[in-house]
Amino acid sequence: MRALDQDMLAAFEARGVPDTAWVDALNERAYWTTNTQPVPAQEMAERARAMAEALGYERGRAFALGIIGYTLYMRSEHEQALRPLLEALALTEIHEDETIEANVLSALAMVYVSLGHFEQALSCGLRSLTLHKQQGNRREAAWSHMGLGTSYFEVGDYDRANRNFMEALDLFTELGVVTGEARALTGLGLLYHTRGDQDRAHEFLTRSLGLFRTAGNKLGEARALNDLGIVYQHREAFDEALACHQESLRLRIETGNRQAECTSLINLGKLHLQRGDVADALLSLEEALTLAHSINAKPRMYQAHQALSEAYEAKGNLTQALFHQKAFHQYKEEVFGEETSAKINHMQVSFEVEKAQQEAEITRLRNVELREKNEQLETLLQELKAAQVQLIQQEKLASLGQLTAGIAHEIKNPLNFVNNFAALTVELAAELSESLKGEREGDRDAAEETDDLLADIGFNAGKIQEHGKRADSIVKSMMLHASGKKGERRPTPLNDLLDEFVNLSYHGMRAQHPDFNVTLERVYDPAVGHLETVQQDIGRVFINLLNNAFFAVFEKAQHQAGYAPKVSIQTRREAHGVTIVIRDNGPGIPPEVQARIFEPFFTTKPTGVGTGLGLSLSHEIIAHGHGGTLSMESEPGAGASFTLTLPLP
Amino acid sequence: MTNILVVDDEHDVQYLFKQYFRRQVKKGEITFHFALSAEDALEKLTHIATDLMLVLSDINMPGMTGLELLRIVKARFPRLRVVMITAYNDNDNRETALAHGADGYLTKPIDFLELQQTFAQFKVL
Repeated sequence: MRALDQDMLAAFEARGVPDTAWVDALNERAYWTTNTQPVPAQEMAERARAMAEALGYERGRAFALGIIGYTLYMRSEHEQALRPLLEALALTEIHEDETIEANVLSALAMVYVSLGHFEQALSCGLRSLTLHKQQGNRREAAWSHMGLGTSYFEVGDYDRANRNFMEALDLFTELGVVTGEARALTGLGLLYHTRGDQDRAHEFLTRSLGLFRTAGNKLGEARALNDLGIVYQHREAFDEALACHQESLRLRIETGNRQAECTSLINLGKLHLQRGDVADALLSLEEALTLAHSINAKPRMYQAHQALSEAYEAKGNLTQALFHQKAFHQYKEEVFGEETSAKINHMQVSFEVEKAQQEAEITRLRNVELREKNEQLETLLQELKAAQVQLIQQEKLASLGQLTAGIAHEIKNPLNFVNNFAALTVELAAELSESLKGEREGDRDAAEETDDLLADIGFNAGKIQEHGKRADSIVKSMMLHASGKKGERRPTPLNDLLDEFVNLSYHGMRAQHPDFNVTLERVYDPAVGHLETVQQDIGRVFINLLNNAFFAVFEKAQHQAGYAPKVSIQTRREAHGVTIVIRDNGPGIPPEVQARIFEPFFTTKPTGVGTGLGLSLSHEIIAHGHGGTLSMESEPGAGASFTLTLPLP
Repeated sequence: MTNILVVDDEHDVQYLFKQYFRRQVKKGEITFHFALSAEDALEKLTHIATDLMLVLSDINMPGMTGLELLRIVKARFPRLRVVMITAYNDNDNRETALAHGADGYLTKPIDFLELQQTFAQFKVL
């Protein structure tokens, strides 16, 4: 990806037309090189900023300002770093760009630490950590932990510092970020040194140094060397300490990090002093002080003054020693003053900080939970859709089942006759051969017998034909109903179709309740004729309405003696089309049920009986499938009627 | 002379009976009476019930069903045997028929050999 950046930039240069993509490319490249090459990074970011401003590309501008701020920090221009960073922060808050906001806050935290504004450093560090965690950005969160660890270290909260460094270390190790891992190790190393565990400090710092060298990170290497130097110094391994500090200084000058350079100079000065090389100590320390002033790094200033005071005292120059001692106290007071109030506020801040961290965690967990719930709901939706499809299928099969019961009955009768007349004919044929034989032998009775038999055989054959045709016509009419591709419209003789289904439904019902007697009244208007319908679907509607009517009167008959069940079917040709009314004198439909009767899955039948889909499907078929209407009227106690209208095309 | 009443809404049923039992009919040993509905059967029964040896009735008929006829016949003419014939070969109808006092149960298509055996059982012939 890094190599591609350069190619991309070259391409943009060649094209020479400013656009947002170019801004992004410049920012990307600058972002990744701030640590190793802060000066060119800053130049690139400046270019990006100018271009973004010209294009009105606010996001690009915010990103660029963030990088500029950070590079200034890397070059130890702390006061100067604040302005672009705060501007970037304001932009991200306006445009709600949380990714850039988080990074800007991280950078700000570091700047505030350098300036000695620990309270702000903590506040920014925690906000950035929260954002990184919310965004699931573990790498950046790890860097936030690093920053927080440093801040806590500076205010003397070593437990929290430890916790944050460990958190950072775990994350970096897991993510395989070598520089991060090394940096966390330096933090921990210095912490152990401060708490008196020199062996541990030495171990961690050596590990860290190794990692920085492998990664080729000079600033990190310098950092590790610096801290190792301090540890050696403490052990009074002065030669090793000197080597470390000198190498560290060299690297820091090379990378242009002046604050770090200042640190090295101070440490060298202290080292020289410890060894008794006062002249060398004074040289280093004076240089350090000048540098500290130029970058306005107050902690460095008072550290330099303190060391100088000791050095001059060692030299015997008490005036200078006093001067520096006073300066030391003054600057320390300024910083400490802030530090003390920071410590007091720190208690408060820590509490709020922990709360914020918890809230961030809760939000993260809630997001995870929401995502999981969302997935669950998705799955449930799919399952419900599948179940719905299945129910509709079942409804179709259920009505088909009733249909087949009716059909079976209708066909059995003619087939019964075909079989029986055929069987009889076989017998008669056998008797015929007997009687013919008798005739040849001169038996006169036999001749009469032959005539009778032949007459019967002829008659039977005619009957076989008749009932065969009858069965055939039933099958044909059934095929008419079941025929056609799905949704195919054909001109349908409505009276015939309806009547067929009346028979089917009626026999289907009788098959289930052979005891049951219903008066059927059929009034068909001969003017009804043909209408274009999807026969399969219309048939289903008829069956549904008829079954409901029969079910209703059957129910009433169970509870009322002397009740005469009646179902009437009527067709009428009218100006707009055809009207079909199916009426029953059953128990009727109560008003609260009437309102819901066409609702899918709504049913008054006991559980397991029917699917409750019939009427809603019927309504669908008539209204949407055929542009007609299906309505219901009922007088509770007196019965119900369903009126179906089908329009003329 | 044996008299049997056959109740079935199918008109052609009579030809089946007349042909299967043509010998007996020709010899005058058996006479079949036919009714096309339960109501018609009840009307005929008022005249010929005492002569009848057996009633054969379909179950599924428009108007009054065979089972209703069975109940009425058993109430009015307790010694008259009634055998139900039906197209439905399911246990529910069989049990209902027997519960209502039917003397037998046959399924369509009528096995006339089985019917002969039934007659013999009742010592009709």
